[in-house]
Amino acid sequence: MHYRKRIIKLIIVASALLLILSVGNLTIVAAETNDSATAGASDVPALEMAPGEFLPISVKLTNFGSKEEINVTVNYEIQDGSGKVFYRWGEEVPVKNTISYVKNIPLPITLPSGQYFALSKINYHDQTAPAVSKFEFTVNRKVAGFFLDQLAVYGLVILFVGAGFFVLSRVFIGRRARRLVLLDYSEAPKENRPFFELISDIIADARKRHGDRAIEIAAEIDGLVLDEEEARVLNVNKEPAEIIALLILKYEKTFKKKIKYQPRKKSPEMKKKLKLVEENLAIARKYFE
Amino acid sequence: MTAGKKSSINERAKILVVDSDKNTMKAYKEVFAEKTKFKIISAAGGREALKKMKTGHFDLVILDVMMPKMSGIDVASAMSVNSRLKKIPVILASALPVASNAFWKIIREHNEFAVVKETVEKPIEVNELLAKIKRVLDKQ
Repeated sequence: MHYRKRIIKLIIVASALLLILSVGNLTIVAAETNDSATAGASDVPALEMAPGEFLPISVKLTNFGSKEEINVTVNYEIQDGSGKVFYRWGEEVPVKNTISYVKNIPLPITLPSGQYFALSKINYHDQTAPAVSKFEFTVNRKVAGFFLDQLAVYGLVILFVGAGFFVLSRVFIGRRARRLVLLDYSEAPKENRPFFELISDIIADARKRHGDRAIEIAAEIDGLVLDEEEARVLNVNKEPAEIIALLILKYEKTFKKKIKYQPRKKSPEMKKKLKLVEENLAIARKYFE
Repeated sequence: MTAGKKSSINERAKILVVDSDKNTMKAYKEVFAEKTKFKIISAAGGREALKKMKTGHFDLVILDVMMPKMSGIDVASAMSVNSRLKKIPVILASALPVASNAFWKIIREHNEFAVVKETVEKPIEVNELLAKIKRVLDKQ
């Protein structure tokens, strides 16, 4: 998570602390540093962590008051709102001028979900009141790398996107299905009906696979009269076997795919015509592909 | 077939038009009757065309490609190997891309197309067809 990498800048203004140290007024020191630290913490955005993760804290200590190196004890604590301590760790840090470092505090794996405070307390010599800075953060459980509240949001997003895809796919499939509907030619002249059907079915199949370009190509064929809106064959003014062969050839050339065709009913006459289509296609493929 | 403005062609050439499609044949006859004085003989298929060519004299053949039983390619091929018929010039007429550079390359490279002197693509533009007929006849 991006904010895991973000380092909480907890700048402890130890300058005042060390300056006052030189005059020995420790009570004032604690109050001043506390205010400074609180102001720094208020700029930090709300942080959400999971048990077992490392809470990064950036610490900067500056010695304004003395030219000598001073040993400062920094104590880190994780507390809940009631002050119950869940983690404590301390270290001694020598400060000559300025020192900056990042402390990664391991959050206990058993830490319950809730609001917590990270505290840094600075002590040196026989100071009576430490300089304290703190900031608030939230602990939440993670499932599959996601916080539970994020998981709910992502789940809703996936649900909405999925629903969108479902609706779109239904619309798309519906359109394709409409294109697949075989047109009825029971009103067409009986002798031409099988050819109307065959041409119509070839166009419908090409339209299903390649869109309305299939109708445009068919409409360009000399002798084939079409209702371009519905892709209905209105008439064939030339030898049907020639029209069918031209249609297949044009589709194969344009869409780079082999066109398969089959009459709705097989009759001896249709067989003859299909043989002629095959012969025409053989010539076309031999010399014009 | 689309009609253009009146042509000046008036040669009394004898032309054999070979096309299996009745509507196309009818269109050819109407156009030639209106715009020329050609003597038009029709054949509905390749075999019929070869039969007529063997028994009669023709100045030019207009030949469809896709025809049942015997295609225009087969007719052109048969003409090209016949010592008398190979002298008759042919104009190939088809809805196939016969005017394309790719097909003309094939025509030049294959002996079976030796008789083919011109090509026109359907739907035929009348003035283009008449211009090509004149060009072919002028070369004879």
